[in-house]
Amino acid sequence: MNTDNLTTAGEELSSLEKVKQGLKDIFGQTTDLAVVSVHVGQYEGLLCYLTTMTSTDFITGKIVKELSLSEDKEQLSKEETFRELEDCHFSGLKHETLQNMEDSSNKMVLGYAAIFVDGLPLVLAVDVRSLSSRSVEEPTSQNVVRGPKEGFTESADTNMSLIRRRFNNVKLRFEKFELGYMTHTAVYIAYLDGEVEEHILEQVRERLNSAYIDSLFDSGRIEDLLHSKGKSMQLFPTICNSERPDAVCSYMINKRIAVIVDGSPFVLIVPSIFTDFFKSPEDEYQWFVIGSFARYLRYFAFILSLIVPGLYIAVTSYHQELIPSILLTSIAAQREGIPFPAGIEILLMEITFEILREAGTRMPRIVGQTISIVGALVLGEAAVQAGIVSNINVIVVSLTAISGFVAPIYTFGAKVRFFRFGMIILSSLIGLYGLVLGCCLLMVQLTRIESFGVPYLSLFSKWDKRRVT
Amino acid sequence: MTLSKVNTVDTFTLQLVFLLSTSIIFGTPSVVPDSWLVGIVAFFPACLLIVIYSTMLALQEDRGLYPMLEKAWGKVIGKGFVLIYSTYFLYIAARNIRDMIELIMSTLLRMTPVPLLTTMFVLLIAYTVLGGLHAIARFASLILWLILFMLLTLAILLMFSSSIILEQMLPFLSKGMWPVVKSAFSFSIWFPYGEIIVFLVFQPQLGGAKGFRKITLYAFLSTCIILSLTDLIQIWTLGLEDKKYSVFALLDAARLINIANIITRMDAIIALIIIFGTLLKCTVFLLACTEGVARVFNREAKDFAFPLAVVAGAFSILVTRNSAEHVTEGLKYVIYTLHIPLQLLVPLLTLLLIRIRYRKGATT
Repeated sequence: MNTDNLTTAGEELSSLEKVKQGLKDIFGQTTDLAVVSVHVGQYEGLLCYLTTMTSTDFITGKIVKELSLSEDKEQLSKEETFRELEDCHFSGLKHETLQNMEDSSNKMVLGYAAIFVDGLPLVLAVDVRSLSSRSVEEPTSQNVVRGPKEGFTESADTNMSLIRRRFNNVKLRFEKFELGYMTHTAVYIAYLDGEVEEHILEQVRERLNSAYIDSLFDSGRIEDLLHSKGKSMQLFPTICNSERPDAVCSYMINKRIAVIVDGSPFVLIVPSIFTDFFKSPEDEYQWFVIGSFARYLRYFAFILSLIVPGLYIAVTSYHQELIPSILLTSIAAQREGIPFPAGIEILLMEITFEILREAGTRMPRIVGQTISIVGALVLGEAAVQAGIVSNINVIVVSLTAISGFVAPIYTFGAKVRFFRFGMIILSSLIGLYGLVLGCCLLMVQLTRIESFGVPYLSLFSKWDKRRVT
Repeated sequence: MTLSKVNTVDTFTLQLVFLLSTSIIFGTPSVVPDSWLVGIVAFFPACLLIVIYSTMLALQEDRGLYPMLEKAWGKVIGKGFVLIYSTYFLYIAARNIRDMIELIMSTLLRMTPVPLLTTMFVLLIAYTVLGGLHAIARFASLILWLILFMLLTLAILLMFSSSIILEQMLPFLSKGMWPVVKSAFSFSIWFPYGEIIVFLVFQPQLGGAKGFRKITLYAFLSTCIILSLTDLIQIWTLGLEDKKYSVFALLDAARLINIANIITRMDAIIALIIIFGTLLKCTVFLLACTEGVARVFNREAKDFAFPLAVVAGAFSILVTRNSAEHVTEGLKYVIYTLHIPLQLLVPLLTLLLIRIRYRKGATT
């Protein structure tokens, strides 16, 4: 491999020396650039690629072997040799014919090998991209008991193939976009042609094309870009994500568009509506009664996690008459030695829980044990015995905490936690009235939002074609 | 800009919740013994209102109340009428807020300052108004389930606490038909049925004359059935006399629920659900008001949402000194000085004027 000692300067493709110089100008001293002298047919040639974007096996097995085979052919002109390479030797690989250095180098960055022939102003770019990536594993954030165990990986190619193998259908389309002026990350949209609404597709294309960001490492970043502009005050997520190919495919059948970002195992689904966040693909794989029961349970848990702490505060501090007398006496007895009002008490425990949760997710796996032991102490019997909080408070906080995690999509649960604090504050200020106003606000917000012109929460109106946001 | 239309089912739920929301608790006048009949009797003349309103719409290509007024009365007087209607809607919204606050004050929060409660509510209304009619209609469909669920639970729980005694509705028509008919004409037609006039404002976004006739008829019918049933439940549980003198009869009925000493005091919960209904109704009125004001002053309707909401809140506190005055004003003066002229006389005159000024074929 002679990647060094490029000396003479010159014009772009006229001679191999000039090509070498050109490559040096563009790539500088980067160590992963391989420039190999080869024989192309009867002529001198150069094989250039980035070693980090391919594997040695691939280069020796496919490219070098084919090039050496081309040497044995009879005498041909340069152009004919080039055509011969293109049509016979590399016809099985994805390839393109380019005419200048700039295009070639841009292709090389994407994992192409560029083959130059001495004195010929043409460059053959062959796709030799072969990257190591995590193999297809079980998804970590969305588990099912029954159903496919495959999950998306960081490689967009793998992800697309996971989708394609579930749709043996000519209508499945992938479209490529490039985002990030520094990283040139590939973003793909996948949809079923004829099924999706054309105006939604147009909006997605337009927003991806007009996006101006420097880098893109996870699909979470383009969630904001895909949101309608000037609607940053949305309290609910309008873009759903999934790690499961079967879930994404079942969304796509329901007229959705999947957005795949290279490097992220989370595939976005647009447009998403409220009910999407409560569906788990597992619901469809079992008896429908059990599936629906599970789904309604999730809605119920969502409501619980929102209002239970607020309700507890409002009822114990403002509307004691609403509690049955026996329960009221037992609550009062428990709260007897507690120094704080109910609002502060709940807020204290909720914040403790949030800290525990945050620590639990960020902490290295090995020390994970510690959290559960310490957490059980802080959020449990010890706190009660110390006289800081009452027993019923611990029950309320734990119930809300568990309910908050029932939503199958984690990002949804994350937002709900914020509303819970709002509800706690409102109801500790003006009791049930505040709680109900808070609920009203959420309901109004839920019905106000639209995701790409599709009403976010609507009990009766089906998708309204005429609406464009 | 072409406005897309709210679909039929959403329009229906919007109108139904609009009609039910406050009347379910403040609705029928308690002065007559057989109040449940009043609703049924009032239904038939109320249908005449539908005829008048839909004819108005049909005459001028579903353009809505405000353009219609300007067309019939000319630019200047028309604009005057638009302002009068806007104020009227704002006033009703203020009254509804006051009703709701009275209810909250008497059941939930006795000590909290009224301005605080009103301000929070009013800001919420303004926020809802900004969402536009589509969002409000979707919101209504949520509320409808809440209200129906609440009524059904109420009936079932009352039944299980054996509070429903059918004999309580006797004597039936002890004073003859006349008080019922009189009450229907002097009260129930105008509230809640007549208030449907506010939907004329939104017709460009709703179904138009044909849709209006059909949807409103169904909405009236459902309202009539639901209101009569709730009235019957109240009478069966409270008895004729108690119902007559109770301020919030439905709440008093709910108070009788007692199942094994655990499920008690349901009235507060019902009072809370009324908040949802009132919110929706006030929102519809305020939206109509903002559109009227925006039309007269040539501004965006959205600019007026917050200021007008605050005005409505202030109105609701300033409009009367106490609850008794508020109720009397609602039962007597509002009906004769506002409801009847603005719901019946002005529309009739407008209809006549349009007929006279624009004869057949001469559409402009």
